[in-house]
Amino acid sequence: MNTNAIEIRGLKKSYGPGFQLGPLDLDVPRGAIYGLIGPNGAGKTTALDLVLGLGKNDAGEIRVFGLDHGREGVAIKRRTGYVGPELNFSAWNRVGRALRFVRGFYPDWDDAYCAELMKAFQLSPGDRIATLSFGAKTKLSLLLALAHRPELLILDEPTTGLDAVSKQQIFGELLKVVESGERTVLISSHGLSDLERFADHVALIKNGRLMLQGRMDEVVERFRLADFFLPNGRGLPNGAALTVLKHEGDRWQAVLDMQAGATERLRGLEAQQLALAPLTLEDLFVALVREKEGV
Amino acid sequence: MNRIVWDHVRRWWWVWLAVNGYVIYGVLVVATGKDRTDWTRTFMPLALFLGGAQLSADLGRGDIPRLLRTLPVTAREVGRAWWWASVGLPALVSGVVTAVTLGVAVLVSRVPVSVPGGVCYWLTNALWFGPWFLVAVFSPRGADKGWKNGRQRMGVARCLFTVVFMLGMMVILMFFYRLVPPYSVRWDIFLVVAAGMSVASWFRAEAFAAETLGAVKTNTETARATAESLEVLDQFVDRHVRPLTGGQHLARSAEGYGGLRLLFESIYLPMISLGAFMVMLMGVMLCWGVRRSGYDADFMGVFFSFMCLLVWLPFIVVLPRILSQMRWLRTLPISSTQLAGVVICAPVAATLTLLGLDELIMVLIRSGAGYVPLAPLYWGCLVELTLPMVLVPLVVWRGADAVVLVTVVGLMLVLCVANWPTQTVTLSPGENAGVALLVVLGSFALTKGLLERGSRVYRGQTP
Repeated sequence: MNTNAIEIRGLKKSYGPGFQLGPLDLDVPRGAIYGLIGPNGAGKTTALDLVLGLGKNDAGEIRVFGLDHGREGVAIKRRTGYVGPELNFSAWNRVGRALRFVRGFYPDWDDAYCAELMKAFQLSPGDRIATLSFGAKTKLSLLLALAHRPELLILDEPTTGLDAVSKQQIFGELLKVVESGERTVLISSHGLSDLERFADHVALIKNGRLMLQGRMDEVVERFRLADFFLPNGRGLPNGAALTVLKHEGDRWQAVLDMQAGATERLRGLEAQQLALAPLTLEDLFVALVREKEGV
Repeated sequence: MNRIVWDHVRRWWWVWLAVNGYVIYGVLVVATGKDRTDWTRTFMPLALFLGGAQLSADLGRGDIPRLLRTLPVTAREVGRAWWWASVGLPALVSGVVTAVTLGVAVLVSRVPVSVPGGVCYWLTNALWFGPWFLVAVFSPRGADKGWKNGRQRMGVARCLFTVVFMLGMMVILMFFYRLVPPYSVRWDIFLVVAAGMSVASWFRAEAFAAETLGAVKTNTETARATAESLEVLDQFVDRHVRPLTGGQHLARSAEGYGGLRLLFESIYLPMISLGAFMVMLMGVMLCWGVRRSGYDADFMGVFFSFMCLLVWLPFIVVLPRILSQMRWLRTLPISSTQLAGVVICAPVAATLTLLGLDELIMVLIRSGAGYVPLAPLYWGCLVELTLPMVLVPLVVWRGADAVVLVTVVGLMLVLCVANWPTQTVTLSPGENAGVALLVVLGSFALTKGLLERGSRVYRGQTP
């Protein structure tokens, strides 16, 4: 049995000259909660869409549960649940109608679990979709995605616009879903502090390229925020191991990739008063994504 | 006030251009034509496209009222600006266009020009702007839930008002050629009623603007209003039509095709319900017309024109609701072939069912009195009725943007009103069916291709 729920090799997708995703290589292990992060327009939604089979890739290969979208797209979707910010159910007017509609597509729809989720999310079949709050609509979307107990859950910014309580509730439900270890969650989110607590793997995409990926603890552990002085007005170019955040006179602040020999490089430059501090995922994201101030 | 009016014209200039272009055509046909069937076909209710229709579109989107709320203008100024943009200016501009067209025709035409006919054509159209605007501004904005507080009460009033208005329009459409000189009906009654409603709309406009600008205009409110207006149709389908098909008690099938059937029904049943209501209404009108004046070729022409509109309207009301959810539908376990097949086949099936109903009514009404059964098949009607399917890939590709709206208006003008295929294309029933099949298959292939091409095609099209 394949240990990865999703395997992506050499994936490429372009939309005109303005945007190109990839080449992208990514492995999402079964049972993992995999966070996909990146700035707006990085290609996260495009990547998630391609994983779900919305649109064709220009090059490369995506296998979900070892299946290929070209031949077994419907089978993949039957084992997958999707929540995204652009979904709209208003054509079905009432929650009950939307449920009845979606239920018809999934032979393994779990009515008892659906009822349980409805109670937890405080939704009822008679609720009018147009009058639901933003948070309730997201919960409905999640309910529709979860009620057939999918093996893979793809969540595209599911908590955008939600208050703290709703976020907690949604993440709580997601944790219940994955606690058996058999279900996989691929989630893109701008709520990095939530993601840091929730996800066990993370990948960062910028301008369509994968900048880093790995286990969450390893990724966070790998980088350090460094504060140091460089004597004699010496310059410090950005490199693979070091990203300069700012400098004032001789004082510098940078993010160091500890696995790439950043400290050795600083020692070679005779850096003084070197102080290292751990980074949160959010700090790391800001440091790696923002325009670099290399000198 | 002037700025609001000119802003309205600038944003909708292409509709003004198209409609006034049609006015030139209509005036010329009526003023110089001999065949009254042609006259009837030139009667396109301009108010359906210009005036209140655009105001409704602006209010539906919600952006314009939201912006106006923040600007230093009074509700009176806004209301009057809306009235001028929807009633006064369209009537004046179409009047000027009519006058210029008649003037040029008198100078250059070699056939006699009927100036009263042209003026009558303009007047019959111009007087609709007021009633249509009144329909658009009739219901209060921001009314609370419950019968007493207004929302339901006004909803019922709006439905009744719309039905009466549509009936009035049908009567005018049926008897339009009798309004043109030499008059064979007393149309001064129509003139007085329409003028009265136009004046009433002037006074209603200010109160309506105050209600609109005072109400909370958010996207949620807009979505709620749209959902409420369509829910009447959905509830009717759920209670009375779906039980007949067994869809109400639909169990999940082992293969997951239960959802596919529901998707088909979600397009087909509302289209049929809405279309059948309108076709029956038209049948009653036709019966009445035939009883009063006997069989007339003009009736056939009118009926055929209206029949196309009757198919278009359910198509336009029902299908965009489904197509705007394409992103969600693509996440469900349906192949692109199945999805494209359903969104094309369901409206085609509904169209053919309505065509069958039309035919049944015609046979029943005109049985043994000269009507040739299946006559529409000789009029290019299959081509005409399947052409709306090209809008499916267009909407999947572009959403409901200006290009789509222009295409809809253009197709309706060319096909439904001018009856272009009927007038100019002579096709045998076999050729007619062949071309229609090509249109349907082409739309299907395009839709399927677009669904597969990339999610960006239908990303961010939610209303």
